[in-house]
Amino acid sequence: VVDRLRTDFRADLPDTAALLRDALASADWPQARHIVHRIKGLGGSLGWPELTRIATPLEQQLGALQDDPLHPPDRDLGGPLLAALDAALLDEDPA
Amino acid sequence: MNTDTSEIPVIGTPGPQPEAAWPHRCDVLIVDDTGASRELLAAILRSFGGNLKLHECRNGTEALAQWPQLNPRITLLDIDMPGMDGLAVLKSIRFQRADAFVAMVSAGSAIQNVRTALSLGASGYVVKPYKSQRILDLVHKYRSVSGVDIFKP
Repeated sequence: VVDRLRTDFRADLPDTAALLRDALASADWPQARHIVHRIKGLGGSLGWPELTRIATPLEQQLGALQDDPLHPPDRDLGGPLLAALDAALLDEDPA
Repeated sequence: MNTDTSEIPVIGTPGPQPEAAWPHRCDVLIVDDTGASRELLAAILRSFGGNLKLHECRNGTEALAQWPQLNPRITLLDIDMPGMDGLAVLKSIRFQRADAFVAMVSAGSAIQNVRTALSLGASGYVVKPYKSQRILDLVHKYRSVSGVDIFKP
């Protein structure tokens, strides 16, 4: 079961990254936070601890933006996680 | 302040005398809006053996509607779910059954989340991503407070 979940998670990475990109571009912080929260919980469980490590502070940032929409977001908000999602897609044998 | 909650021990209210009056129609109720998270948790529980009766719900509203009939021995709740979140579900279950064994399994590792859950009477708190042992610890805790080993028929 875990192998299948891992395969599915990896196969969904391009869609996940696209959804996250869209949410960030449209400043839809609740949606972006929801996606990041899911990556944070599942990534580490399925063999990509790096995703959890990078997603954790991003989720906090998005929560802060959700609470205070006037606060300017970081210029590269989500950039490291999107790069990590791309890297995970290439990683055929995760931890 | 150290806010890393990944190694929080399984703590919380001592919980139940679950064998008391009400029949249990389910060993473990898993409540999580992410299908893969539910499947993973179910697979981990099944890997420990036994012939567990598991039930899954996709959100808090569904869980609360089914909880009285299922009367699960153990309820595992995600927190961050659309609509009614896991903390609201915990509060409502506690209102119905003060002795129910209800634990949180959440990626929400902020210490405030943990404090809130425990103050509402959570029987335990496991932070995602977790090791299988953390789930087994919860089951052992349930056994220690109820005297029931869910892996034995």
